[in-house]
Order: sequence, then C-alpha cells, then structure tokens
Amino acid sequence: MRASTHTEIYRPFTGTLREHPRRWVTIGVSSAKQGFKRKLPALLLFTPVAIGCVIACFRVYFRFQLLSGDLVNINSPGAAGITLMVTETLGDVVSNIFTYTQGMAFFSLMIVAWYGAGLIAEDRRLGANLLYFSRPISRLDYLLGKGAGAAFFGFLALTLPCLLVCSVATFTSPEWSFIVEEWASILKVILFSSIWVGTVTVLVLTISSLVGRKSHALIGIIGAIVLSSGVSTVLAHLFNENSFSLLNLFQNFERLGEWMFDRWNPDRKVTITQTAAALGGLWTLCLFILAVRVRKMEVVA
Amino acid sequence: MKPIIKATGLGRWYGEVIGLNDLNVEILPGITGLVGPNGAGKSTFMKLLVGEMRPSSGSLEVLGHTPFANQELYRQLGFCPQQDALYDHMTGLQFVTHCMRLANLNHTDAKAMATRALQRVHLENAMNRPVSGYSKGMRQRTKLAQAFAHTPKLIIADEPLTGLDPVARHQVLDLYRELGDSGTSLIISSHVLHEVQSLTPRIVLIHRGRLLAQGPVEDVRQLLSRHPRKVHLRAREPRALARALLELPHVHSATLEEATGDLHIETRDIRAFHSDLPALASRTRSGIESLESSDASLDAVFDYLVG
Repeated sequence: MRASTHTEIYRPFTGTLREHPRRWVTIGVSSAKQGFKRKLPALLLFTPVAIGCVIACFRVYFRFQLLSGDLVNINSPGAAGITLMVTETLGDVVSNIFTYTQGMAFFSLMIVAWYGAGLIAEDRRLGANLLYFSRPISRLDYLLGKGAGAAFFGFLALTLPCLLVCSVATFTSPEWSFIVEEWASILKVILFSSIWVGTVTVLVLTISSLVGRKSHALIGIIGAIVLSSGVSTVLAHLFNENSFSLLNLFQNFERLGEWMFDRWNPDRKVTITQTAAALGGLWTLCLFILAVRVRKMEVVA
Repeated sequence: MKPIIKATGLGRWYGEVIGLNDLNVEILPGITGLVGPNGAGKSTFMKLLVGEMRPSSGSLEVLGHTPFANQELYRQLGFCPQQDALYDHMTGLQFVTHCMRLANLNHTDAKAMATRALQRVHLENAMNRPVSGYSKGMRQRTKLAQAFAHTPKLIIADEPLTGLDPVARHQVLDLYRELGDSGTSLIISSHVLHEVQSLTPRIVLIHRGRLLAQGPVEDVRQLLSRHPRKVHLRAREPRALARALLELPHVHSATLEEATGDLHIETRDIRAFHSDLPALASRTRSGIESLESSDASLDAVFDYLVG
C-alpha cells in the first residue's frame, strides 16, 4: 500500500442516477455468473445432458429423414415396412422429449443442487445477507434473485435441450408439420420443464436456507431425495399401497409428464389430482420454510 | 439540532437471550462512536438501525424513518458489517459494483461509483483482482468502499478498523473525518477506544443491552462523581503545593512520591481545579513543571463504567 499525505478530498457523486427497478435480476445474474467460474463441475454435470440431447435430436432428425424418403427409397420392395418399423422404434418427437426429460430429471436435479446449494447457505456463512438487506432489496427480491440463479442452470439442463429437440423437429419435419400441427407440444414442453426446474429450485433453496455451508446443503438435498424415494418404495411394498409413491418426487413428475403429454397409464392407482396435490404440498412447505428462514436470516448471521 | 436516530424503549431478544433492553438514545448528526464490551448489544443495535431486524419492543427512527423493510431509508444508508460478507469469486470492483447495482443504480453509474470508492480506499491497484487473494485489511477496505460509494447520508460501520495495519487505519480514519466534514453522519463501533476518541468526542456506551452513557467523553467523565479525577503534577516545591491544594474543597486527596517528587491529586471538580491551580501555584511559588490528567480518556471512562 502506498503511503499518502492524506490530502485527498472526498467528492460526493453529483450526477443523475437512473433507476434499475428489477433488482432481483442483478442478484440472479450474479448468482449465474458465479456458476460459470468453475469449469470442471460444469463439464462433468452437463456432459450427460449434452449426450442425451444429441441422442434425442438425432432420433428426431433420423425419423423425419426416414419419413420424408430422403434416406431410403420407400417405393423399393420391403423398404416401407422397414421404414415404418424404424420410425416406430425411434418414436415421435413428444415421446423423445418425454423420454429425455425422464432420463435427465436426476441430472437436472444434480445441476440445480450443485449451483443452488450454496446460494443462501454461503450468504449466511459469510454474512453477505447483511449487505443485501441493508440496501433497497426486499426479501422477495432476494429470493427471486437466488431462485433465478439456480433455475437458470436447470433451464440449461432441461428446458433448453427440449427446445433444441423441438427446433430440430421443426426444421426437419416435412412442410413444417411439427410446428404447424404440434405447436401445443412446445408449450407443454416449456411448462413441464419449468414446473420441474421450479420445484427442484425451491427444494434446493429451502435446504440451502436450513444449513450454513454448501457441502451440508448438497448432502441434505441428496439425503432428502434418496430418503423420500427409499421410504416411499419401502412403504408402498410393505403396505401394498400405491399412494405412498406420492412421496417420491421423480415418480410424481413421471406421472405429471404422462398426463401432460397424453401418455397416462390407465393402470395407475394414483390420480393426477393426488400428484398435483403432493407437488403443491411440497411447494407450500418449501415456500413457508424459505419465508421464515429468509426473514430470520440476519439473526443467525 | 434534530436527531438522526431516536430509540425509545428499544428492545431485542433472541429467544431468551437479551440483545438490547429498554434502550433510550438520541444521536445527533455527525460522527458518533458506539462503544461497549463484547456482547454488549452494539451489533444488535446496528442491525436494528439498518433494518436487518425488527425490534422486539419499543420504537426506532433513523433519519425520520422506521428502518425495517424501508427501501426509502436504505437508499440513504451505508452499512459496513463486522462479518466478512465478501464473495471470493468476484474482484473488488465487481463486488462493489454489484452492491451499487443492488442500490438501484444502472451498471455504468454503479461501476463509476465503485471505481471511485475503491480508489478512495487505496485499492486501485488491486480492484481487478479476485477478493480471494485479498489480505484482511484489503477486504475490510472493500467492505468500507461499498458502504460509502453511493454517498449515503448515514454510514454505520461495525468494527471497521479491525484487521487494518497502522497506515491503513490512519487512512481510514482520515476518510471518516472527510466524510464527516462533508456532512455525512457516521456511527462507528470499535474496541480501539483511543482511535474512536481521536475521531469524535461523542460516544454512546452500551453495556449488557442497556445504555450506560451518552454524550461527549469529557462530559460523561465529569458525571462520574464516584471516581475523582486524577491529576499528576511535577513541581519544584511539591510539598507546599500539596498543602495548599488540600485546602481546596474539591480536592479529595494528594499523594507525594518521595522518590520522584511527583504529586498525585484527586479532585471531584476538574474545572474548578484547573481554575484554582494557577493562582495557587503562584502564591506558593511551587514552580509547576508538568501537569497531566490520566483518566479523562475514553479508555478511563470505559473502565470506570464497565468495570
């Protein structure tokens, strides 16, 4: 540090300040930027997502190529049958997206957990919340910002790949048939992935608000998922009662996906209303805990 | 002068633990030192001032506003907390800019103000380095920069001198004086009492969650009648001087050290003592060589009050 003669004069800011009303965006952007600082976890976590996305895109592309007759001459003997069989195997766009979302549910959960686990816990450990709450930031702004930061990575893991698959389907489908005839599927994809990412984000932030370190939050999240899944499976087997599967987050989303993408299994004993109630209950519980913990954050800082 | 802070019957409990209890205090504009031993309730009081917490009882007004969740007030406040509170992955400039963005500024203004504040705390050479590589003093100065960068009316700093080397302390104290001179009010809590006293004579002393003393240190010391003021004198004729001093009604005792010839006087009224002493010294021709009052400092007041 250079020594000085202490002759500087403090100059107050005299310009005109322009207001930036959406302050939660600032917190969200800051949280997202923080995630990009470390490359190795991003590489490890997003590799399965990227592979899954490429496979889903390829299947959709290949299916439309077969149907358009660009790859195989449908008029040749036996080709029509083979083409039909392969396209059935490849499945339609929505079933590919559904399969992708179910396959990537765990990875997207891990991604949101990795990037979101420390957002509140580390703030409390460092006392950074003291700086937030002594500024014109409401508790809601703070929560929205932190939630947006964590959900951004969930969006990258689930929503974006699904939209990529939809884009491939749009551009490869003959006469833009996918977007013309199945545009509602795109909205369903966005809605379904948003519900999943939102639920996972709220769960992750809730656990983050209950502990004082990122590592503890990560353990808590994995523990909560493993425990709820394990307990629901064991209880369902012990009592031969399917309603215990409502405790399982992944099964709830499988059912929700089936319902939204018109693939509902009629043999299921749990209804969509019960599933929605279970998810609503989880949201309510998490938001209640978050509200209490964020309100009392400074007491434990 | 209208007080910037007015607390009436202010209380805050953490479960069964009392943080603050029935605190009644009015703080005027300018620089005020908030002192007290560990666990006295200083940080609780500061958190209440910046609206981090709601009071459990009583009322509190800061710049005419009730602090909790009051965004209008937060625009006029700067807070430097005791906790580290910095994000290691950001550079100093990014961190202060981020804080300014939270204070409702657009990116350009926020960055300009952050740069200026960091230059003011002499971090211009380090502000583009990650905070993780900062020393304790640099971290402290970064926290300080975010507290005053947006030119608030009131800055509240909790232990802002902790971790600073002597040069940095000097610079920070100078900065506080400049801020004070420019019309910004400051409330500074610190354990370094002589540095608080060098910054301001006005103190608020809290102990066990209660207000123990408030006002200029000299006035507070004057009120401590149970502890007579001690004055050390060195004179050519100390015995004659001691004999004459003992005749004064406000002089409590006089002790002469044979070996050194030093005279230790205890008086209940230091102003009367200073007023009477020149005439007395002249009359007794005692030839005073030095005079020193050792227990008028904030340290002494603190010791007497807190024990």
